[in-house]
Amino acid sequence: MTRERKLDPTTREQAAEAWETFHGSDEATPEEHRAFGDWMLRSPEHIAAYLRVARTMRTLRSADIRWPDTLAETLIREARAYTEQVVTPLREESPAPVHRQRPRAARAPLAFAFAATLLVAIGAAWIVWMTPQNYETRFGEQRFVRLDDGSGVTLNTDSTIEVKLEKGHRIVRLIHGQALFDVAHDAARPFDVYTGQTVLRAVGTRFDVDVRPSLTTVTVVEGTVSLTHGLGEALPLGNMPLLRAADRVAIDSSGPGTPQHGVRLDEATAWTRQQLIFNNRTLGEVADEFNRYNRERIVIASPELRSQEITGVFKANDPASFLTFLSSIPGAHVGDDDNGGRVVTLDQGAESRP
Amino acid sequence: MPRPSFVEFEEASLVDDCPPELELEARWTQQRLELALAEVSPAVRAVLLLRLRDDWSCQDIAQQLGLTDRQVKRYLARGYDHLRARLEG
Amino acid sequence: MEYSVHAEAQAEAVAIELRITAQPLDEALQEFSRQSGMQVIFFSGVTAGIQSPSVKGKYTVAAALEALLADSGLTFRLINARTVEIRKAD
Repeated sequence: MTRERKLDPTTREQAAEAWETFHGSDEATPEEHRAFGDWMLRSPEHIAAYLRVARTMRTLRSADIRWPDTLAETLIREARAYTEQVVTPLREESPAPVHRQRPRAARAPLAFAFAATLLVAIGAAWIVWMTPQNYETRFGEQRFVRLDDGSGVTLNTDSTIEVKLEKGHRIVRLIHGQALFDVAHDAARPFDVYTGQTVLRAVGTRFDVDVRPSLTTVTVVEGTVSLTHGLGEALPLGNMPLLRAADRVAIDSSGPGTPQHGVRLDEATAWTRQQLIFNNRTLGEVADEFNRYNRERIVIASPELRSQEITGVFKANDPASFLTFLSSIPGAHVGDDDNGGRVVTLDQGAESRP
Repeated sequence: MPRPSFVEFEEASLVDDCPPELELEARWTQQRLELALAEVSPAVRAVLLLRLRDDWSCQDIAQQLGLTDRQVKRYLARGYDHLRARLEG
Repeated sequence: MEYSVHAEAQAEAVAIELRITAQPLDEALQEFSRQSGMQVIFFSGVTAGIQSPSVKGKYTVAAALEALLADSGLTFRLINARTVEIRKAD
């Protein structure tokens, strides 16, 4: 199939509406026919858009398609919960979740007798099955979570995930922070991790996702991960190569970069052992890394000092040793800043390398 | 060119014929469908499934979800577009 | 320069089992860290191009480092009881 030209969102929406008008349950009125004709004649783009929708709908109507069997009651309940929370429902398209003001995932009262019967039959597990579960770590905290499907998730400092294990699908949203995923093999249910505009699909694997303000980094430890980026735009599965063990890719606002190969995995997973391993990393980066785990922040004020490279192995909760090292550098001074942190400065003209 | 008062379309003549479904392609379509449905918001998902799977009318959907008819059509359009995006390519 | 006599004394005291194969020195030092639980740090240029010997057996921290750094022109300095810095010998 050749790549078709991109059509603007309004046109696409109009085309979908047009299709709905003509294939909806009610007969279209002559007025609607007229309006549709006018719309189609206005531009070849409109015709193209309509054809594309029609083609999709035709594919969907083929007998081989199996729709997810989520109950109507469940769909309604989830939709209502969602529209009640979201401030601008019609603009919010991406599944990146809105920061919930309510404490936990919506455990809506079971208003339907049908559901109540199921509950009696299956037990409390049903609630866990159908509603998303949130897991969170506080600043400086780490936590290991075993999911119901046998997968393991190790959460790093200050992280939040939302987990939905459904009949045909396992979905985790990494809302914020860093997590190492150990995905239990289940051929019937793909395991997807959503973060920002990216969907990572795991194929029997172990991989790390680190979400920072303007950059997300994915490192595969074991197995294979497929990456899809950009919701609402078609990205053929063949486009982005599969990520394999020791591959790493960084994703910023412009999308995924070129994957890096041969990443040191002991370094990538060191945080799960409360260790920080640095191989030729600048002192500035090291300080930033310590600051993710410790409230007493370390700021290296001197650019010259900040850019010096070191190699080292540290315990994440021992910034004091790192500070002691910094203070021992000739010409360096460690002082206090106004925010309860430490600031490291360098004397002018001092040689910072021993 | 004179504008007709309304235009009739015979769908069969406009939509290009898809090649016969191969086993692989059917599976691919299925996967993409599931992916698409998982990606949209719960509101769009509900509207899509109730409409396409359960054949509810837009009015019924609107009533159950506490939305206007207009909003349902808008969600539906979004949903169709997303499905189209995922099922193509 | 901080130099804890107490830390040094500790490093002399406890012997640990080590199995470090000969390899680039920066890797050997990371391996040492893993096996001994000590924190290790050094400026990157310091170990460039240097190979470590193999170090296998029971060693105190100080003895282990002396063995690893033998003939390298480098020495170690205890920052505290749990952290060691590698630097060029004066």
